[in-house]
Amino acid sequence: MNLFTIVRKNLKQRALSSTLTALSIALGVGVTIAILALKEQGQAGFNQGAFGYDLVVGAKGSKLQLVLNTIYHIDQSTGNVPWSLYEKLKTDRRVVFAAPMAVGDYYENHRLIGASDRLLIDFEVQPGQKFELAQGRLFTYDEAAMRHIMTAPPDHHHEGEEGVFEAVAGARAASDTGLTLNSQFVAQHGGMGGDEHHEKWTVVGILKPTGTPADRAIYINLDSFFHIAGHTKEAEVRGKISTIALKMRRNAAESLEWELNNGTEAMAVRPAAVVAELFQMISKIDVLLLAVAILVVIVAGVSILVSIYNSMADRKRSIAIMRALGARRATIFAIIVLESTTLCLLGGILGGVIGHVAIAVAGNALHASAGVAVSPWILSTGEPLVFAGLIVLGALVGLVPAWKAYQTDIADGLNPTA
Amino acid sequence: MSILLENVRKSYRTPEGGVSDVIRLGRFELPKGAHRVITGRSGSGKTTLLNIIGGIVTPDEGRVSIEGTDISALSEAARDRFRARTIGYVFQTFNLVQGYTALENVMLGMLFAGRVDRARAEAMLDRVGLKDRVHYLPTELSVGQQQRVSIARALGNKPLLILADEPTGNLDPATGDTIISLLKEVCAEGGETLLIVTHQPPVMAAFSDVVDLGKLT
Repeated sequence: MNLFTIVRKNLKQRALSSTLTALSIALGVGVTIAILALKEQGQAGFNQGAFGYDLVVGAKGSKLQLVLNTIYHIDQSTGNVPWSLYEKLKTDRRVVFAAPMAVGDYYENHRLIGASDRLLIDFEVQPGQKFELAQGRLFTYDEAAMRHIMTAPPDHHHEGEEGVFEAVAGARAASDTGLTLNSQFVAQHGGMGGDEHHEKWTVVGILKPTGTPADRAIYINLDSFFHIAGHTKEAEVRGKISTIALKMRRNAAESLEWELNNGTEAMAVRPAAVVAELFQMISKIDVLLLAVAILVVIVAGVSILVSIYNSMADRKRSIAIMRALGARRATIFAIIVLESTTLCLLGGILGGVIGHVAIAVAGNALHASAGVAVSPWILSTGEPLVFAGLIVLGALVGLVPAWKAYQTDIADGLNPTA
Repeated sequence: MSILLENVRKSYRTPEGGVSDVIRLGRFELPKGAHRVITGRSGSGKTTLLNIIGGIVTPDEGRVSIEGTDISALSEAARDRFRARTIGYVFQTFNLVQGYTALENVMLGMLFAGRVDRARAEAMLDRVGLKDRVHYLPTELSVGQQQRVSIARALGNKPLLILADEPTGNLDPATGDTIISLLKEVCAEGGETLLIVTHQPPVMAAFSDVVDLGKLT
């Protein structure tokens, strides 16, 4: 037997109020932990997703839309940019490599990205880490054929021309859709429910997981995108691509960005900066949510205070007995503070479980929608602080009832008529 | 354990604002190992005397010496520690902590003395005839059994002094006789000094050393 035995028995004797107050704490802590982790891991995931893209060039419009569309494969394209711009940027001395991309079609809600093979060869997913094939090979990309398509006269249509239709699926796209090597699929225009194209792509490779939005994409050779019936007929598409991803030489991004943004042809954005801006906007909302969650915890803490304080009249006699048996006032005080702290911590532990389950659920949804990986097994940097705060809160709310217990008079408490 | 009280006075403030002496003793002495009964009319200060000796109440004046230690000069925390280690209490209303089993009640007394000994707690319950009731809650025990638990708890810390406040006050005569016999037996076995306050003639009749508090003040 020790002081914790007494604390456990006290909590057990007030099982209902102990459970309810612990649940209130758990709710607040769960939400707090989930918000902290989702923000921290989400931001890291979004930043990681943006890694490797020094500049993204697209049609003038919303910078955020361009980044979300190009990197995270959500939202609509801002429009198109001329192929000639790609040709120009490719040879710019400030550019390490340029990767043209065309989007607009899907397979089972996974975006098809028409791209050059350079994207899968040269692009860095993480520092020092490039795409790796888990199975198969890269698609065959024919830059000469692409140039031919892009520079052909307006009355020349390419549908029906001999073309290669090959695809390399991201890891998540392959597992979600069941695509395997040599699988064939047709694309839908604009997503699920859109018109199906007639052309069939063959999966020639599957990428290893990267933990980035790229996992959700299916990459096809860019020239095949323009062999799709109708893709070169429309005036707004003819001779144009959706975006150009650029890897820049050191310190060269800013000048090219300035140049392009001051021209009329296109817009250039630095994804890292846009992601930072996005999270700055979001942080206002999550600060608000965090404040509400912390308020819930504080209110629950106060309810612990009230609950223990109200039980003092019933406990007066048992406290007096303990004092008569030799318990010092400080010991009684400590028991009550331990009790409130234990209740807060029990609620906190339950809240931790709730929070991490919420992270798993929300993380799964985030991964499915934006390809950003959020793990429920990682503690956010703020989580230890939450538990430290709970200990402080538990001790603080225990002070008032503990002081009342401290003042219990033995002779008065032992008298049953008192 | 010898007890010596000298010039002890304890008074209470009356509701009318006056002061009333409850205890006024010139000298009270109890030799080590003695078994004594203090009797007196209601309100004569018997329980207050016991509480002064037990260090629960401090006298307004005078000296309370237990085995040479002036407990009235000790800090409250030191008195609590002294009480936990050297004094066993038996109350009229048993004062078992509800929700704690017989064994836990005995160990609770040991906890505050800083020496929890489960085996001894079980042995004490065995000694008072409750070997098969160690895991019973107070509400599952008869009043006589509850008082037995109270005696086991008082003996738990190997005290030198047992203070019993109307130990048979809530018991029927037969059970009361059994409890008094048990108290005498266990104190004789352990050599504990025993001081009982009561106004019940059967208890007085069971001891040879009976003192009327009214004649001491």
